[in-house]
Amino acid sequence: MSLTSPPAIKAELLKIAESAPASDYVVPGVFAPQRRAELVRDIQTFLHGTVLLHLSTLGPTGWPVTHCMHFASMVGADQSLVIYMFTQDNTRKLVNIQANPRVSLALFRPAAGSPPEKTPYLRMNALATVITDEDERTMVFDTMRAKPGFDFAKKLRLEDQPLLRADVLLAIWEDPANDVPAGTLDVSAGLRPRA
Amino acid sequence: MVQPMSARISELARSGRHREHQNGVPDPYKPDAEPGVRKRVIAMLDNCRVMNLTTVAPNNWPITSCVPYVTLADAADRPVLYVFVGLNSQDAVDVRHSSKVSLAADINQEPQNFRKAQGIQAQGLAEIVDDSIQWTDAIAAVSGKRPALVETFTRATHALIRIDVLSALFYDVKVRPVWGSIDFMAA
Repeated sequence: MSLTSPPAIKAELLKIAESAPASDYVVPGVFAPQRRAELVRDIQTFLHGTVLLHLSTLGPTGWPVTHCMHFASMVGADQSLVIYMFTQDNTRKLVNIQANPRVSLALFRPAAGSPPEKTPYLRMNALATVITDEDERTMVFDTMRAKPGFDFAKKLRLEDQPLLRADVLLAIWEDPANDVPAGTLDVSAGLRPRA
Repeated sequence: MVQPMSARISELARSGRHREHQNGVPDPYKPDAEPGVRKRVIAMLDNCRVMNLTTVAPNNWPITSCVPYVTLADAADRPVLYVFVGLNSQDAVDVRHSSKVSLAADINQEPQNFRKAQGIQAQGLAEIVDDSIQWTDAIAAVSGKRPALVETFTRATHALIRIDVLSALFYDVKVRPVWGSIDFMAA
């Protein structure tokens, strides 16, 4: 099963990628493109070992809303990064995403006893959509079930819930324990035509 | 006791527009009528040192970032959070653009241990504050909680963001199982 984005999201991703999205924000220096594969792999390792993240959506009146979510993460053949989250039906996040796919995701995971200055930090901008394809839902559920910490999520009856998919455009990543200073990873760079 | 919220923020809050984030979806948990709930929510916020703060960028994209903060309360027992950020950081740029913010703090860092789960999601209005009284109050609060950071926060390098928390959803299984919502602007 490939991680091909839904057509509407793919079109929006391409549009945003063309404008080099990192230039829109105050961000730390951009990581060299040749480090992309290595950094995406490190980020995926971090995501796989983390149970919860915070997802933020934007309502039509301009209010952001932040939600604590269980998730699964996957890396595509083109080093694209996709986050999947199950959510209860009729929630604000679902209403917001259907009107505006722009979301933000953030993680901060202090290991037991480790000081904050040694803690990895990840923040991402992504486009989110609701997935109804049964094969994709099954793939995500199997991946989530294999994730450390899933026992807690078993109580939530995720299999009955709508599935959200967030295609990452931009990531701010810092891993001080492994001497990776804060930097910006333009995940969308892989979408731009090669010069 | 911290300064009252500014007239601009007070007007926004009292207009009822702080409930607009509900977007037609009511709070999933019943309001907790327990008399001490305000102080309990403030204590939960105070127990956590970092939160994920979501601001709205000028290009109308939500931006979530992890920030250290301190918690105080105003005369009406409404939580007031203070966050020191870089003078020209994304957070500072965003708050100058839009005062609407959202935040989440998870006190329990072991989510697989359901019996210890504690967390808060909240809406607030934010503004950059310049007055020396609030700077002094915020620095004093930081010195009690994270003394090592005090020296790093200067007006030359940092902006001080004040967040008036207007409403919150919370869960607290550790002390006593409770899920609730609270509107701090309600009488």
